[in-house]
Amino acid sequence: MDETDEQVLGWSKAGDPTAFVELFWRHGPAVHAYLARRTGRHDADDLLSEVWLRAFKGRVSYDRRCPDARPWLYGIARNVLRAHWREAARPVVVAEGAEPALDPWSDADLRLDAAAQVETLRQTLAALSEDEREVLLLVVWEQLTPAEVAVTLGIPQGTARSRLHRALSALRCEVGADASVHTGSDPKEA
Amino acid sequence: MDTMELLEQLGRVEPADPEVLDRTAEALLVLAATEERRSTACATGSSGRVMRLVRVADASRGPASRPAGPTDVSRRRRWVVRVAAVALVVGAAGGTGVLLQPGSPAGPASAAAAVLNHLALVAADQPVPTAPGPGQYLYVDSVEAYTDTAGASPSGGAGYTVLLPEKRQIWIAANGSGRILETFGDPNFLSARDRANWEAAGSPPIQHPPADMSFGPGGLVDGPTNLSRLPTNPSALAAEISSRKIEGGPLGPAEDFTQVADMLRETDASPALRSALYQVAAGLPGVEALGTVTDHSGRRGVGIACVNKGLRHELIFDPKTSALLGEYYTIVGRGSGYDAPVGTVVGWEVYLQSSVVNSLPSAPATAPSQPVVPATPVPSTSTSTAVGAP
Repeated sequence: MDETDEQVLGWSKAGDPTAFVELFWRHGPAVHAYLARRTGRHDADDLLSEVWLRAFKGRVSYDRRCPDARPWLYGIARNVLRAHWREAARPVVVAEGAEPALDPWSDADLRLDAAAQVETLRQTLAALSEDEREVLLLVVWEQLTPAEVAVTLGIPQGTARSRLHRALSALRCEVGADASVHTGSDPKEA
Repeated sequence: MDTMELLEQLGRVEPADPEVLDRTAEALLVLAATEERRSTACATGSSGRVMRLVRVADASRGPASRPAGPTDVSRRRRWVVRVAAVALVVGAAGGTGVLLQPGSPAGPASAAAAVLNHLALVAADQPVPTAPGPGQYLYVDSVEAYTDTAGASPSGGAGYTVLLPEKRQIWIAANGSGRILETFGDPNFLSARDRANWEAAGSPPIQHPPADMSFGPGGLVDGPTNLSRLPTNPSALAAEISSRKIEGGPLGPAEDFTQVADMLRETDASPALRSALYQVAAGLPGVEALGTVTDHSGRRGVGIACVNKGLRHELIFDPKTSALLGEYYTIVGRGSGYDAPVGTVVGWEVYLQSSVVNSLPSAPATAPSQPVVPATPVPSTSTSTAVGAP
């Protein structure tokens, strides 16, 4: 795949009906993972097509600042998720259904210890503002740079950086660990 | 464990179910194709798109510019032994050929029609391929499998059917002379019952020896079709196909679909003719879109299919060049004539390479039939072949 996402989207806009499907095969699994982390696998299955149908209809709104379409797609996924949560009148759940992957250890003590840590972490995440949490999780879970996060959330880059900084500080205070992330070419945040 | 590691763990999820992804991809294709078709029919899209449409419409009306290559083509229909007449109502040529003309009434509102009309646009944009000069040959390389039935006897012996993989190479000169080499792989029984019948028959040898066939001038152009004489206006072409002027056969859209495929595979159909053939297929009732599919060598393309008598005939195209990448025949219901379960593949083919070469090989080439993934996609046109079963 030599073509950039922007080029593929260009073909789609020019009327090639297969181009958008190509884009889906590039990023569909990542979008599904984004949804599954935030709402669970079952709901992610249901919401995936909604995200992509919206993306197709809104493809003219693609932000050309990003050669990678993921930040744009995550932004759409986020709107779909919010509508879904509003509809379901449910509180935001962080990483519902992610527990099975939290069990990589055979040692029971370690597992208990980890479970306790996870609970603290979960509470800390829940205590963050939605904006801060979203920035943090886009960086850690979706591996976006702050610049890409800014595109996803429709905020200035500087705002994305300051939110990330605040989120990492909160983690440091509450969990007490060496919370730091590498964000590509961006200065280290912690 | 540090906090970031823990946070990453918290975000780990199982990969999406492939079925969920397939379903979404297909929905997207249908949406995109339908939208494209609507724009095409109304010709109200962007100016760029309208210009493309006009160019294609001109191409389909103008004189066919094609190289002086073999013009008669006979087609291989070896797998299609059970595709016979079907009593479907032919929906006239409704829609055929009109979709590219602004202001005309729309044809069948299906995703398949939209996909095929898109392929027609792509085909018309392809360069006219180089024809073989004196002493040169068009060479086509394909890998395929088709069924071979043996063992049935009037005295009550039950037959058995195998799927026989094959590597096929054909060289054809402008005068219709040339050569076909076929090498065969290990046959696979279509079902357990076929194997049992074969054992009951005393397990006779079922390997096929390689075939090396040489043909004098005209030997590889024995069919009734002269592609260069065919109309490239889709409506006129549809009329010739459906009235069986080009090739005989039972009436009906399933046979029309078969004949369109015949003219697309191993032929040197011009871009204009290929474009017209896609538009003819777009106007056939019963043709369905399969979304993104892979051919037997793993290349991804866009699939369309026609079901006839319990057998689905699937064509897979490269969406970027409109080239025919491969085909499948699959049992999907009753009446196929095969004694094998639904879902059984009873034939497939992948087109690997097509090029002009300067000589014939001196000796039978290479080993058989392993599925081969080509280094490059097959060009949009290829050679004509003739041919009976080996």
